[in-house]
Formats: sequence, C-alpha cells, structure tokens
Amino acid sequence: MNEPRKAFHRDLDDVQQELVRISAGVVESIAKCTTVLLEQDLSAAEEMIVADDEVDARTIEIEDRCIQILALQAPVAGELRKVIAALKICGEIERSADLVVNICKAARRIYGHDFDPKLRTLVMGMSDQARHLFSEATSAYLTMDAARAAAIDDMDSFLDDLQRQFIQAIFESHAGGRIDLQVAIQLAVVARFYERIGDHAVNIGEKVRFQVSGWLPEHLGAARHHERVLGDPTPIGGIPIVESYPEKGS
Amino acid sequence: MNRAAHDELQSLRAEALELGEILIASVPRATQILLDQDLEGAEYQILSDDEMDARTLILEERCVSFMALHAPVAGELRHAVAIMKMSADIERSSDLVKNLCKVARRIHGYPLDPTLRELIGAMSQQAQLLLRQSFDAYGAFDLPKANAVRDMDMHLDSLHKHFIQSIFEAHRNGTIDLPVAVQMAITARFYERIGDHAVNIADFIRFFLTGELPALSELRRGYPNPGSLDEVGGIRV
Repeated sequence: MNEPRKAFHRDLDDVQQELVRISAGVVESIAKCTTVLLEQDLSAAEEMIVADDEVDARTIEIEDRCIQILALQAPVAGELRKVIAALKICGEIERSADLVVNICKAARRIYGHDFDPKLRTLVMGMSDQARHLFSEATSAYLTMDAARAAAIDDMDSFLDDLQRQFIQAIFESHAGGRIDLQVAIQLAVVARFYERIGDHAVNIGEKVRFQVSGWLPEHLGAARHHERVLGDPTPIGGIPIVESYPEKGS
Repeated sequence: MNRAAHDELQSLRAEALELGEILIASVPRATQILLDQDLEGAEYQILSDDEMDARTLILEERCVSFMALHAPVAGELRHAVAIMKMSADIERSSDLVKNLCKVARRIHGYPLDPTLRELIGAMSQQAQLLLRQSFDAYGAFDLPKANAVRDMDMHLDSLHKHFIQSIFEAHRNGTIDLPVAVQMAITARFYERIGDHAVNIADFIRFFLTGELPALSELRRGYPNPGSLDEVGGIRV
C-alpha cells in the first residue's frame, strides 16, 4: 500500500479508536450518574454536567474529521461505510452523554427527597441494563462483531420491561403517599432517559452491522410499510400490528 | 459535478423538503388528536409513521450512494451530509409525533383541564413554527433564517417549563391524577424534543451553507450556564 493510503487507513482507525474511547467513557458515566441519583451527590452531579462539554467537543471533532475524510479521500464501499458509521455513531454517543447529564439534573431537582427501596432497586436495574447495552455496543464497535451487535436489540426489550415495572412502582409509591408528585414525575422521566440510552445503544449496534456488511436496519415500520404498499391490500385502519408497538415513554 | 450527479442531489433535496412538509403538517394533527382523544386519528397517524421510517431510510441510503458514486466535494459534499443528517432528525421527530398519538390513547377517557389544553396548543404551535422555519431556511438557502431557530427554541423551552408548573397546579387542584400527570410531563418533553430536532436541522443547514459545524458553545444546547438549575432536556421543577 502506498503512503497516502496508509495514512488514510490510519485516519479511519484513529476515528474509530477515539469513538470507542468516548463511548467507553459514556458506559462508565451511566453507572456514575445512577450513583449521583441514588446517593444525591451534588458535587459529582456538577462534575458530570461539566464533563459533558468535553464529550460534545470530542464528538464534534470526530464529525469534522469524518467530513474531511469524505472530502479528501472520497472513500467507497467498505471504507465509505466505515466513515458513515462513525459519523452516525458520533451523534448517538453525544446524545447518550446528554441523557446521562439529564439524569444528573433530575438528581439535583429531587435533591432532599428520598424514595423507597423498591424504586431504588429498579433504578439500579435500569441503570445496569442500560450500561450493559452500551458496553455491548461499544465492544461490538471495537471488535466489529456483527453478531454481538445484532443481539443488542433483544437485550433492549428487557430494559423496556424494567421501565414499565418502574413506572408501575412509581404509581404505587405515590398512591401510598411515599413520594410526592414532583418526585414521581422526575423519576418517570429518568426512566425514559435510561430507556433512550438503551435505544441509542441499539442504534450503535445497527451502525456496526451496517459497517460490517452494508446491512441496513429493516426498520420495523419501513418493512411494514413496504409490505402494505407492495402487496398487502388490507386497508390501513384494519392492521392489528399496532398492538405490537413497543410502548415507549409510558 | 456532472449533470447526473447534480440532478440526483436536487432530487435528494426535493425529497428532504417533501418529508419536511409532511412532518410539519403532522404536528398540529397529532396535537388535535391528543386534545380530542381521537382514537381513529391516532391509529392513522401511528401507521403513517411507517411511511416516514421507510422514506427517511431510503433517503439516507441514497445520500450514501450519492457520495460513493459521485465523490462530491465542498458544498455538494456538505449538502449530501446535511441531507443524511437531516433525514435522521426527520425520522426521530416523526417518532415523537407518533408518541403524542400514543399518549392520546393512554389518557383516553381522562379530560384535561383548559390551562393544560391551552399550553399544549401553544407548545405544538411553537414546535411547528420551529420546523417551518428550519425547512423554509433550507428551501430558500436562507442563513439568517436558520440562525434564528436556536433562539426561537428558547420560547418553546419556557412554554415547557410553564406547562410543568401547570401540571403540578392541576394536581393540587385535584383535576389530574398521577398517570395522566406523567403522560403530560412526557408530552411536554416530546414537543421540546421536536424543537431540538428543528434546531439540529437548522444547524446542518448552516453547516451546508457555511461549512461550520455547530460551534461548541452552541452545542451546549439549552444550558448557557452548565451550573444553573433550570435548563435542558429534562423536566424543570
């Protein structure tokens, strides 16, 4: 391989390595923000909120480099997919770091209010699962392991289940007079933040599969739409498939 | 760039603008569905999100193919990247619109008090206005218009804040119970996130027009002062 090509490959690898480093940081921060929430540690919350600026800066830099690579090297095929995947994963990581910050902010808003052991256990459960998903996504990206990446989606349904249980538990706690409305709402929104982090991990997994094989997510909806448009004459209103939508944000 | 490449880029742009129009129109529709608790409308809107998923996915694929086949540079490369990025924001915004319709189903049978209804209307209008502004900026390559979107988003944020307060008041007055209150809090967040996506779209338009990626300071979306308590993302109390 000639010298410029080598430099180009080095560039691509650098981008991937840097993204893996940032992503690993997010994995750690998921556990940390949960501690902030459960221990009501204000100084750690402050630290994490400020640290997010660094993630923003680093992801922007990667984005910039990806665009430079596109412009200067005009990559094709596998190399193009690599750049595109990096460009997209960037956004997922950046947004996940924002969600971690949002959890820290929620922790500050409910500062001084305690919540019961059942809720705490479920928060831990969601946090562990979100962290697990993100860690799997990061490893899959590092090792370019498409099979591993493909499993993340299924792991995510477990997180969705936890979220539903948690919402139920919030209602029970509130009905039992153990938490007030403001805390209840903050916690419900926190549950959504964990759930969204899981969704971003799933998206990263999809980008890994795209990079490895050119695979594109058969977005469920997209597939359903094709089916409807191409073959299925069932009128729109009569399709029962809606019942199987994952209940997000409940 | 040759003629074929030029035509393809124009066609990508036309598709992005068309998806934008569909998205913009869906915001007030979803809001009406929510306020009327219109189950039939909800079903229809939720299903039509499938089409958005399909079209945004195809648009992204076409952007990638465009880059692979034509190796665009400078403004044209930025344009293709911007469309690719935008299509993800369109897709996600459409999901949020769908989520609004799911809320309509979940709270079916629970009336909302007039203050909440009014504020939902206001948030919806502002979210729609933000999207309108972003896509108008793209349609006309209008940089000042794109630049204004971020500031317009502040108004949506303050409506959001106001709305959360109203939920608490409604709860105190006994006009709303917790499950509905939670749905309302999440509803407010959906509008706020639609606004954030409009801001992202405006940022990519600026990037395409000027080559500047959203500056770091601007990335600290919603929190000018990281230490302050009433800001970003979550729900303010």
